[in-house]
Amino acid sequence: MSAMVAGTARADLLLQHFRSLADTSKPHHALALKAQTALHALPLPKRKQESWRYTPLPVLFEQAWEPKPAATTAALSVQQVAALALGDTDGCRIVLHNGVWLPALSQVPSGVSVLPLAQALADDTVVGSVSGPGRHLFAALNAAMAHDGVVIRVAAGPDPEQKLEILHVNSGLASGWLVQPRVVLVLEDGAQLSLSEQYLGHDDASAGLYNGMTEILLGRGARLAHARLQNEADPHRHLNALYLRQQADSAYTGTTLAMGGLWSRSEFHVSFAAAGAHCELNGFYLSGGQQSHDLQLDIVHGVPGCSSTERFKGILSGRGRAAFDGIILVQPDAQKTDARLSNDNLLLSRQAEIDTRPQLEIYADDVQCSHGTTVGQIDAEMLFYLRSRGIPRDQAVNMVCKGFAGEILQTCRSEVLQQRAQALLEQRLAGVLAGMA
Amino acid sequence: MDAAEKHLEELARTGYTAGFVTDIEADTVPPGLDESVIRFISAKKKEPAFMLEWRLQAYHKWLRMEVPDWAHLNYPKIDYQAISYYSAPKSAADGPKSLDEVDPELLRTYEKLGIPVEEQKVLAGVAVDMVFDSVSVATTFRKQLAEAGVIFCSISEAMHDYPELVQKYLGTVVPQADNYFAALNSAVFTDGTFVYIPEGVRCPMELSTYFRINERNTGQFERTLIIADKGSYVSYLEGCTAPQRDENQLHAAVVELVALEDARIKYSTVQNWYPGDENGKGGIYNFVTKRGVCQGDRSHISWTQVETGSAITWKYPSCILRGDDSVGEFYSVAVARAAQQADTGTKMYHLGKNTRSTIVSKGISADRGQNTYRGLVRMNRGAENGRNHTQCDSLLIGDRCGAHTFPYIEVINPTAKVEHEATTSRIGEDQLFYCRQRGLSEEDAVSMIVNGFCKEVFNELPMEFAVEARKLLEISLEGAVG
Repeated sequence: MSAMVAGTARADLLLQHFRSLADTSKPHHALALKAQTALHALPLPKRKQESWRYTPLPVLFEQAWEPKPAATTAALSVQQVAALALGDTDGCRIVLHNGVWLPALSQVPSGVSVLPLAQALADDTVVGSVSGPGRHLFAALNAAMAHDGVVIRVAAGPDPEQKLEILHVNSGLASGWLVQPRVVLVLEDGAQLSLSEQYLGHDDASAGLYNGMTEILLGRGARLAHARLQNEADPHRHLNALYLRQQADSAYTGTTLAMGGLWSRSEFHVSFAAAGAHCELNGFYLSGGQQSHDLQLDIVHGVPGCSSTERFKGILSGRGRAAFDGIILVQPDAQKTDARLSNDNLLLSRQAEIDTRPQLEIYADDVQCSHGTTVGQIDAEMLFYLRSRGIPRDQAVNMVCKGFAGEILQTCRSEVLQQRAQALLEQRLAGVLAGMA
Repeated sequence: MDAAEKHLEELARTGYTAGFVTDIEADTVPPGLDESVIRFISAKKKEPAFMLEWRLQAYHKWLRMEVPDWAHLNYPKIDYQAISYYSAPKSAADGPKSLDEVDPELLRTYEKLGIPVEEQKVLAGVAVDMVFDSVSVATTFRKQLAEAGVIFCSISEAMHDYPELVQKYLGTVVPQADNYFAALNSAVFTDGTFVYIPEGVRCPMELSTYFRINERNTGQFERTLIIADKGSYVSYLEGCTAPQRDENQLHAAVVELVALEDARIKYSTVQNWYPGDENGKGGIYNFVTKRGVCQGDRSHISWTQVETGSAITWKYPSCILRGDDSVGEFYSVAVARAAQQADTGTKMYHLGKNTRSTIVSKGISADRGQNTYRGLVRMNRGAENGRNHTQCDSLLIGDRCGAHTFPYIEVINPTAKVEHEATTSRIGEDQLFYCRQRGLSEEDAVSMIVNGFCKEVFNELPMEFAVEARKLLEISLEGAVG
């Protein structure tokens, strides 16, 4: 009982802490003001709220995260950036160090304009136009303190193969840090882009919380291929909400790979403004050791004639945990909607835990919707097949896991990113298999 | 659709054929709930002391609980102080010993509903424990069952005659404070059914209770407890209709099943309570807690339900698979039309080794009906080689209805295997075309397709129920096609 009381008192303190952080932050633009009001009405996330039901919250609430000054004076060097970058974008990249845009280390292609968020906030109503002031405390906190990040605009250009990468590097901060950038990406009508993002906690031991927000607006007929690799350093908590708004006939193909950090939560909020839009979300998560990954999908079909496909897969080992919560909402009149969601999970250890909750909420009748979920360990017959052909057990397990994850990894447009994820997977699997032996 | 509209009109004219009120002077407490009402109920039923204690405990827990709001349901707040918690047909107070002693008006009520007790006794071989409001008024086939050693009586009788069994099992599956409605039921339940099948006995007939809600403003709080001892088998049928009325009626029943080693319980429900008028006015609010525990190894519990009635359905028949190699099953057809709302599904808790569960849920939404499947499958640490397969299909008829699927899957054992599949769509134009081409009317075609959609579930029902269920489904979907 006393532990519970202590817990409640602690939760109240944390809530006060986050609210006062927002109140004392400098920005006084419309979004921040709205979010500050919202923040005072929002509770600290708790298990009782359906969307936080399976999220291991104690890890998130371990510290009173706050913006921290740099602990080291070492800035990000050109060499470091070159080593971290994918390098398959003809040098086109945007570097955000601890959320702050470093123009000196960045370079953008023609037809693409970049504006620091703080500057855009003053006169550009696009910021916050998809996300709103935030539905939960952390989203509102990001909006209320909005300052870091960039607004990227892509015009329709002659090059359909236009590539860009964004590097999010968090390093050199005192422990307990809070970094809250926002990336707003606008693809004008007919624009096309292949975007890769990496979230990297660069050789850092100080624990922090990355509370990022991504807003994407796709114009008429715009096409975006979007690959994201989250590979934060071990102690970090990573929270990222992706808000996507699609105009008529636009297409979004995204792949999110959640691999790093101690705790992560990736949210996907997708909505359609007009018919003919298609959204494809792919995701892979790898939870080992004490890690937990949480994936939240909120797909709203509000207009007729759009389609969406969501495919998520996860491998869990050690004491790894994962939560998958995907809702497809088809509103009245959103006829001719085609929405399909699948979530498959592979458990490699006795202590792993998976909680999955695919949901359909449908208010229109002329629709095709389905979801499927599976949870299991590696099929004994598969292993037998491989072993009967002389393949050692470890290698067989490795092959099955790689094949399982491969289906998602190969949807990354950037081959370099794909290879990096593949290498990471192999390295992690080797560790798991060594532990199993 | 002209034909459909005509049909609908016809149906509206016919009204709810099972809706009528039998006028019987009732022994009813005034609306409201406090300790004295509970003491009154307990005294009225001459219960053993432990029961009053138990009820009061539940009442105090209930006072501290909150109404659950997570369900996908919309209904006005229920005023629990406006409900009368006890009502017994007067003629039952003396306790009829046989059918001859039963109020003839009551018997006529059942006859109007098509439940000819006399005939059923002879023809169907079904023992009927009729519940009129809150007190059981007739029990048949008691003797035949007694010969087999089966106890089949009202739960009030069981409290007098078999207090040790009641005390041992009551509340072990659904604890007093399990949820808001179960706590309320535990405090105020007035009657229900008690079944005990002794070791190694196969119950010689299908047991059945017909529920009937009567008497204005009285909530019905039934309590059913079924215990299947080692190696026994029982099939239990539950069906209900209710008279038409204007005020919403609350029904918060609790059903507890206990299956010991190698025992098997089959529990089938056809629920056709008054769903309210086209705007949902006057329908029954059905908040039911049903749960079975597969206590012993190799035990088996199977729930089958056909839910066509009620304005609000809040119901999750569950299985706790504790014994190794135990099996849980859930087969459901739920229909929501007009302004009906159903939030129903199941929970399968896998605790023992090699436990298996199957979930087949078919939801049909028409008009403005809202149908929600909500289910939990949990594979616990010890659920070695646990296996679950879930199939949830939703059929939409009309563009204003809703079909929702909210499964929860929790796995903490890597050897367990869980599969969940859900689909939502409407009746295919091609399917309809195919049938119409062969000379079927649109109504018949839809009826045939819907029946095919539900076949997997109907196949699980005992024969008589399967026939009734098919008919019910046809009637409830009449005029909904367009």
